[in-house]
Amino acid sequence: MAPQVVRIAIVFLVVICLFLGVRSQAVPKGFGEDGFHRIQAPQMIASRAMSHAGRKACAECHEDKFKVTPHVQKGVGCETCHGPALAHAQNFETIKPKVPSTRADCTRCHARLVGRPDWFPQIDPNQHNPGKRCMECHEIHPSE
Amino acid sequence: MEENEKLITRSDLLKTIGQSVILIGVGAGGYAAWSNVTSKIAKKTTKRTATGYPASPWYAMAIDIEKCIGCGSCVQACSVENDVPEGHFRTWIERYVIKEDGSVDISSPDGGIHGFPEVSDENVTRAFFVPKLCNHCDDSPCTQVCPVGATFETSDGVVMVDYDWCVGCRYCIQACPYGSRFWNEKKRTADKCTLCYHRIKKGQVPACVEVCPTGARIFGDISDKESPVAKFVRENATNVMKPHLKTGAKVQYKGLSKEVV
Ligand code: HEC
Ligand code: HEC
Ligand code: HEC
Ligand code: HEC
Repeated sequence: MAPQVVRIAIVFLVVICLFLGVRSQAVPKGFGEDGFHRIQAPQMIASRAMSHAGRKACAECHEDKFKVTPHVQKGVGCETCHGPALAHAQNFETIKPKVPSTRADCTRCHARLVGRPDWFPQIDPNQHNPGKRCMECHEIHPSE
Repeated sequence: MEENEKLITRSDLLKTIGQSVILIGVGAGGYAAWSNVTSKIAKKTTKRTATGYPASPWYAMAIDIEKCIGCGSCVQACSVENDVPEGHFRTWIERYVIKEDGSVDISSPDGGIHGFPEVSDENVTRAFFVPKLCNHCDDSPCTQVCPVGATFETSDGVVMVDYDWCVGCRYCIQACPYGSRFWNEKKRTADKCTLCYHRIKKGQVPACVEVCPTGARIFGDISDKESPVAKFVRENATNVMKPHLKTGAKVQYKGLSKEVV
């Protein structure tokens, strides 16, 4: 065989070995075992901690708040108004979720607004009993 | 003899055969190594479950535009749940205001996290809110351009970023036709919606779905006929955004107007 062919073969061999060598170092553990990514990545993201508990978690201690009201009936979750409360559910003595109290806490949903669909109950905050707290008249959680 | 000089000797022949075998061996070895590398990573299943999806579970979301009231609860919940840096959004709301003269005002102040300002309803023909998020495309441009395989679709249909492997080239942010990705300067990686993978894998719904007061966001395993999202998509006329791009977007919208971009 011609010597240049042998030389080319050697060059190819060296390049292939070099490629495989570099690759074995550059490719992380678990890569390519389930597609073009590290197999452990989804698991790492799935193991992150949550901050919203979900409404089912609240029922355990606040059964009384699940009485039928327009909000409960239409499926407005507890954390929609009270904010993320997983920390509270796990540690209810020291951590308290926020309790809405201002008119703005209600008007962010109920103020009449361009874009808000007609089926949704809306009020004009400047006309609807201005200056008074909404909860003076609207019982969010009926006491009995 | 003149004829004889052209003939090769037996030893020459054996030598050539031997060298050829070595060359072919090297070539075949190289090819085998290469295809070993590529066969695993280029895995794209063509199998389908009984309901027509690549795997089960196969997570998806649907959005009912007629139910969105633009309150911003989803954007707030997402930001807290996912520690999203201020000024960036994994999900956001846009308001479309279509005027009588045909003009369209599109706005999304702070992603709608504090709701939307009052505007005059004069000359308004139609107005609505559109919640947006990553469409978790099955054939996504973002996963295709990532040079290191740090963004990918999981075997249950969620497109995510491997934060420990992302090199921060930001090519995926450019590639996304929906503007769903952003540069997270805290993590120093690209970032985006994970469908709250850390919640759905614990049997919870994504935070935006949990807090949506009107049920405008529907989530579930679409490969399961009984899941809320499969039911919703079956019972309503829905479409994805920019279907002509054929990205395999998974977020199905009900009431999608042509103005929505
Ligand atoms: C393990 C029991 C427990 C769970 C679970 C729990 N809470 Fe509580 N929560 C309490 C107790 C005890 C109090 C204090 C008693 C009170 O003030 O009525 C409280 C008080 C509150 C308050 C009033 C805070 C204040 O400042 O007065 C709110 C709002 C609240 N919880 C919301 C929630 C929500 C939303 C959830 C679901 C994510 C939840 N809780 C889950 C036990 C629990
Ligand atoms: C529409 C918004 C809204 C929703 C939804 C809502 N809450 Fe409340 N919650 C309020 C408001 C407002 C108050 C304060 C009541 C007041 O001032 O009269 C309150 C008060 C409370 C309190 C303290 C009550 C007390 O006795 O001091 C608890 C506990 C509570 N909510 C739990 C819940 C739970 C559990 C749910 C889910 C079933 C829930 N809330 C859903 C708005 C809401
Ligand atoms: C996150 C959005 C949200 C917030 C905040 C909110 N609501 Fe509501 N509210 C709703 C939804 C959703 C309904 C049910 C609408 C329906 O489907 O008819 C509702 C229904 C009502 C209704 C019944 C209206 C009717 O005609 O049926 C009243 C009254 C009301 N809310 C008062 C309040 C008050 C007072 C507050 C402040 C504590 C408040 N809401 C906060 C979403 C909200
Ligand atoms: C002085 C008592 C009072 C106060 C304060 C008050 N409301 Fe009302 N609200 C009423 C009464 C009575 C009705 C039912 C009659 C009506 O539709 O006007 C009503 C109706 C509503 C409705 C239903 C409207 C519809 O179209 O079905 C909503 C939503 C509402 N209120 C929200 C609020 C909010 C939000 C606040 C605080 C910003 C508030 N209200 C403050 C007395 C009050």
